[in-house]
Amino acid sequence: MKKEDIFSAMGNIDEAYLKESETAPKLEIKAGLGIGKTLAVAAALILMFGAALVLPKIARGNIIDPAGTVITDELSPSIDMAIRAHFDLDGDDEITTEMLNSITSLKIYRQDIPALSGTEYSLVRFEINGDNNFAAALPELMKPNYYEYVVGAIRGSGLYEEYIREGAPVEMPIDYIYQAYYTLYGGFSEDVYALDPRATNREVYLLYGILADSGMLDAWKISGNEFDVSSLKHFENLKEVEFVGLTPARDALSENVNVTLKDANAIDASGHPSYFDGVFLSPDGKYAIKISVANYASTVVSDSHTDATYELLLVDAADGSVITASGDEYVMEAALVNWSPDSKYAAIEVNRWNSSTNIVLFDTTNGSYRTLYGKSELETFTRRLFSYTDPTGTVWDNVHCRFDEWGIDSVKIELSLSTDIGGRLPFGSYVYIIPTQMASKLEYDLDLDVLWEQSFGPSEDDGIEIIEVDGVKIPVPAAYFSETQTIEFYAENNENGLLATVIHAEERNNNSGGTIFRIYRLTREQYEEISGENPGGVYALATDGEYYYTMSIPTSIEGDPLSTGPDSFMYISGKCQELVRERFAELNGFAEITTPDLYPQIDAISIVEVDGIKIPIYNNHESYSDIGYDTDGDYLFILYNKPQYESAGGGNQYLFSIYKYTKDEYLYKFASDAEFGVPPAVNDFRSRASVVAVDGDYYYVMLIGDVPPTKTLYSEAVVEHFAELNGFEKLTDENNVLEEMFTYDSEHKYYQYYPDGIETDYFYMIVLSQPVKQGEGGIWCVDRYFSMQTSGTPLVDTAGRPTIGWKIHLPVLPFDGEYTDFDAYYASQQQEYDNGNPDYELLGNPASLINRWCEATFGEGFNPSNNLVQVDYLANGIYDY
Amino acid sequence: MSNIGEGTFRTERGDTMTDKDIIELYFARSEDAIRKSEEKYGAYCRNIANNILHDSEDAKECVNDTWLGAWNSIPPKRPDSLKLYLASITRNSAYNRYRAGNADKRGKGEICAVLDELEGVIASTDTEAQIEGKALAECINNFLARLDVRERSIFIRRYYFVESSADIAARYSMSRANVLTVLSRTRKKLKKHLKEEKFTV
Repeated sequence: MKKEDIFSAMGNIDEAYLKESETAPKLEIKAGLGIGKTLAVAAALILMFGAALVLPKIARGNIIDPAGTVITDELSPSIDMAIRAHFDLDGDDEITTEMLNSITSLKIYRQDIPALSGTEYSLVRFEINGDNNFAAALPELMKPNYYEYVVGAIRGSGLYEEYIREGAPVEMPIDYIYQAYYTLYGGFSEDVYALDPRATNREVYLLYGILADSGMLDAWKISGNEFDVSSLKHFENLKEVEFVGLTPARDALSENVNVTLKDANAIDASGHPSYFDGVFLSPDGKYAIKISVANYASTVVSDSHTDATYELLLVDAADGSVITASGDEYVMEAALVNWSPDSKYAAIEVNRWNSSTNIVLFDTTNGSYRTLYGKSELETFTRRLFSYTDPTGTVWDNVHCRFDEWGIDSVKIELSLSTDIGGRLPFGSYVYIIPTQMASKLEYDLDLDVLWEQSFGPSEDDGIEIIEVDGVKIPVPAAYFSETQTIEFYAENNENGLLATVIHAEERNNNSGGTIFRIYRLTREQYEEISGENPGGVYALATDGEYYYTMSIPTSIEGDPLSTGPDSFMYISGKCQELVRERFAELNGFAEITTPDLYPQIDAISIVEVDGIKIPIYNNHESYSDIGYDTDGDYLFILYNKPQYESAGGGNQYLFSIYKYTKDEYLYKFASDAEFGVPPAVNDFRSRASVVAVDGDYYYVMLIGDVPPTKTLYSEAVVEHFAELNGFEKLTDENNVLEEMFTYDSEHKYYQYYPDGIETDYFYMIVLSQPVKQGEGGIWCVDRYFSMQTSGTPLVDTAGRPTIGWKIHLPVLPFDGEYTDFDAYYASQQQEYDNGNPDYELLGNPASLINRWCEATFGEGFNPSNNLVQVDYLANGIYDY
Repeated sequence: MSNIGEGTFRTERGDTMTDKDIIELYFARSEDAIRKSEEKYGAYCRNIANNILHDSEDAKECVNDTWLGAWNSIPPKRPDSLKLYLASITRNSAYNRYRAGNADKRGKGEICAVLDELEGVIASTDTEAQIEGKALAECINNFLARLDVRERSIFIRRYYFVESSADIAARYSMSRANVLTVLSRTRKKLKKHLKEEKFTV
């Protein structure tokens, strides 16, 4: 499947969803709430709250002692939720005194949040026994029993109804948190019970932002620097409490508790509102990544992707101090921050518009950072440029480094390549695991050879099976070989040097041969011998110094060429052949053969034979599943992309077609008559056509269809290989009838036609020949006429005679869009003349014929005495412009 | 044509032209149908086309194709929502143009980023599998049904209408990073869903 398939399939989604997306309500903050204009901005400026938020709607906080007695004193809501998070408790579970007694240390933070309105909120968060269970960065780490708390906030959803019906918590993905704040914002008309304490920090900030700004969370704010510690009297074994930015209030803590007070400065969350993306707390709450606009310059006014540069800061969450600052990073859009579960590393994807993607990796253990550059000759992992040049010569060297997921002591990044114009590598992206040590060893030089191997071919290592014959390794795609047994091989190793034959099993069974390729090991002598024979269908692979290894592919199709799809012969054949071409030399440690002139290089093609003519098909196996061809038309062969061709009903929706023309047909099709108008169909034909080979009296013409972008590769393969494969000549001046001065070898008569009068300099040269019978009694025809290619100074040859430009016209037959056989046409005219048909009498008289022809061709204003001069030469000295 | 709600359109003469009225014009084979469609939804369709083609001239031509497509298909079709029907024609026509476009025009615009993102949904080993379009569309519909409204809407704005994350953020009053996060998660879910449904390996 391809990404395009998904995009295309999206075109058929239910209209109801489209409608819904058009009308989905915005999250605008109500004016009455007196806060910023959008949630996005408000939320962006809300900061630092990792604990749970619970409105008093649900009575919780009951503590039950070991004897089963419920202690009626409630814990403060924030402490209640912190403890539930720590002990993995459900909302209906009781907190027991045993749990409280197990808590020996607490850290209680104050976090100040500046908002757009200028209001500053002070919020609280906790660390229990050195463990911060709140706000894990990865949703999958969230504990399902907390999902219920979101339920109340999403009235109107099916899940809410289910919740009501079941009367029990319903697990749901954390993504519903968005729905939650959605509804919350929708007017606060609904009850809001609680929020998921395991939501990501940013989700919590968003929710908290709404609630706090709405005035609903006054109970949750810390007044000044004081924190009500009355709940802590239930913590009988509490030994250490560290207050950061807070002082204990209301009750005195037990004398047994060692209290530490620390100052806390709020992390400065200022920045350009449109680009400020907030602060991302580490799972343990100790660190934060802050994205700060370093340089905001909207250089492209009309483009939403402005040229802001960002600075990424690793911040101490306790006091807001900056531990490490990255350099400026150009960012296309807000970066995605990914904290490792152990809070040791943060990987930030830095997207660069239409270019590469980098990852900035922070290491909290030593405060270092490094950038995994997507594209940089100097900084790519091993200092080697990761790039891939495909068979067309297109360079894929924009490397996109994307965060995939955290592994154990490693980070998985996904590497993909693109061209400068955004094309994607055919073999997709590659996931690579980088040890996290990399983050602390900046000089660490990764051995990414596996990555470079990837650049050699389309298959991953685990996707290849090696066939070994007499010590020679032949790669084949495992998907077809070991998994489905679609392909089989024969080890041969015969005296002709044939080592192995790989075949398509089903096609073999169908008695159609099914040979995909053969591998030969040839002596130098054998190699040169074959080279001289120009056998076609042979690819020089490699040499070990003593032997030459070649791959031969069938020069006539041995499978069913019309079958398509991923199991078809052509598709699999393409994949197998490509794999061998790409990997054979490297796998065997042989040298690639670098003297292509020694041996015919048939590059990346398969061959289909039609009426004895071999048609090279560019081996684009990616698209082959959609390809079809036909031989049943006025063409010899037509190749097309089936879905496109069929949906367009034919027309020009093909890749290329090949025609076989006689000399006359060729002349008729290609002789220029543009000055007097060529029917559009002929013009269209000529604009698509090119002569790919000449064989005696036949011209092979290829027409290129309207199916980009691969049409170039398909047609280039024809231009490159067609003549050679069939033993034909390529078109040259010598074998091109259009370059000849006459079609008929006879006596000639020459006329110069001056359209503006003979006193002017501009004329046409018209040549008459006798096409059938020579001499007396033979009819005449206009064989050629030439027009000067200049309207300026007349050109003269060395004898002072006017010369003509090289522009040939072949006006002898009416252009009605239908070919008429020249010989038959003139033979019938000669016959009429011989029979004395008066209508044909003038054909025997050159002067009458040229007058009639000029009159018919040049129309009004033609006057033989003022426009036409007979000369006795064909102006020579053809001028080469 | 901004600030005009769906369904009702006030012409220069002050009379009201609803979608239903415009569809009637198509049924009456009145060329006014195209003119009214252009007046009412021209900018809307051009915007969709431009998101994909990133070329205002191409987008214009594409929208002309849209009118032709609507003319040829209404009747017999009588779309429930003319706006979305035209959007659908425009999107598919623009994407076909994009695929058939010159190489030097490729890689520009949101479509490049959108396709890039969708690449992450398929496994690297999937590229050869042949997919039956209808089955995939059904699978995606089922997937969308499981999303909540907001998530689904964001996903559709991105992968159907090819809107930029900035535009989506503005549409739903979110931060761009928030939109990116939702999209990223939804893509991961889609990847999982496709795998479960055996569309990818």
